Amino acid sequence: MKGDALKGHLDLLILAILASGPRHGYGVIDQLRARSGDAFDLPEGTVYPVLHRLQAAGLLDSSWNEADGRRRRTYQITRQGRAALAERRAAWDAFSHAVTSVLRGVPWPTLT
Amino acid sequence: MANFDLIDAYAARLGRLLRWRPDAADLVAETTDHLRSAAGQLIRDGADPLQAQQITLERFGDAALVARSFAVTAAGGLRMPTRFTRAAGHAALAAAAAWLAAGVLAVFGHTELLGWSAAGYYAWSAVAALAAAATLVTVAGSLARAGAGRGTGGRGAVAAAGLAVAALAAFPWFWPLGGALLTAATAAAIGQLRAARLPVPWPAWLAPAAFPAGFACYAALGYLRAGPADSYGDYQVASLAGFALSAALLALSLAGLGGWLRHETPADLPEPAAAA
Repeated sequence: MKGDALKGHLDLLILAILASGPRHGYGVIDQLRARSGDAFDLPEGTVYPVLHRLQAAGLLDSSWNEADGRRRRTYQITRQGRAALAERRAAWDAFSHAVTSVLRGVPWPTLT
Repeated sequence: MANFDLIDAYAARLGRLLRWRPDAADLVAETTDHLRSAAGQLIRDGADPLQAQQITLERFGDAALVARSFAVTAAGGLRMPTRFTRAAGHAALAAAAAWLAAGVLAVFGHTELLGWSAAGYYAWSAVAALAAAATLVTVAGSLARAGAGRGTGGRGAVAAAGLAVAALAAFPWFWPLGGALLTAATAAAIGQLRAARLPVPWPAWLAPAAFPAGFACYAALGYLRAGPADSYGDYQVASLAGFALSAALLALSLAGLGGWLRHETPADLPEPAAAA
């Protein structure tokens, strides 16, 4: 799946990954690939502007530390980020449920 | 021992492409950590060091694409300093000087306190319109810097500033009209800069308050009947003080904004050559 298909969803995916614990950028992308079964194919460098934007919006926080002799930035989700994740996850569930209902020809919300 | 020359070269290029950002060193450090972590993992998985670097860099994306993605706004604009925004900074400083001059010329062109003359009136009108025109360029540059120049709000703000130029050129004596239009334009520009969380110096925030403050001064002094009335029954000190206060506040604001805009490094200059 190309990066364009992820437009608009990357925020939700990143928040979901960081909800399970703090990670550095490489760790976030590694999890994105692992959890999607390598389905998401996007230039990894374009994930960083999203991380920075989410931090500027107060949904993530970050701190610097030293690892393997290099400076490493670690991101963690904030309380505001968890609230945004819950809201966006609910919206996504409703949307995907409705789309699936249409595709299967089953009236929503009877789909289980 | 692994050779990380490709990664070093990539990080150096990214640093040059992001030189306009105050946090460029942090972004390069973060990128370098990512690339070395990824390449290290591939080497542990059996890849040879050179191949690991090539795969890592391919997955990370072209440096120009990555640098550009740091400037793209949700609406698809580019939030970065350019040669145009730097020029707008110079225009802001010119506008500040012109507004101060217009405030002084208003004594001769707008009142009979020291003797009104047609030449004084035309000079005041021309300088006020020039100041408004330079402010228009500043508004356009500020909106472009915030990545909001092409949206409906951005175009509306520029149109309002354009109407202000015409209003001040044609009816300088009715300066509250031009002032109201400039208030709308500068409020949109400063609002977009602040929404983008750009480090706008505090005097710039005063721009949308300049004409409302001047009009309040005009209304208050008019109510108090300050100074002699002119042949139209207008209280000259009130109108002069209102315009001069607006011009002074706007000049202060534009000087702050211009100082910031003109000192940023444009991102659209040709990429500098790599150090030997």
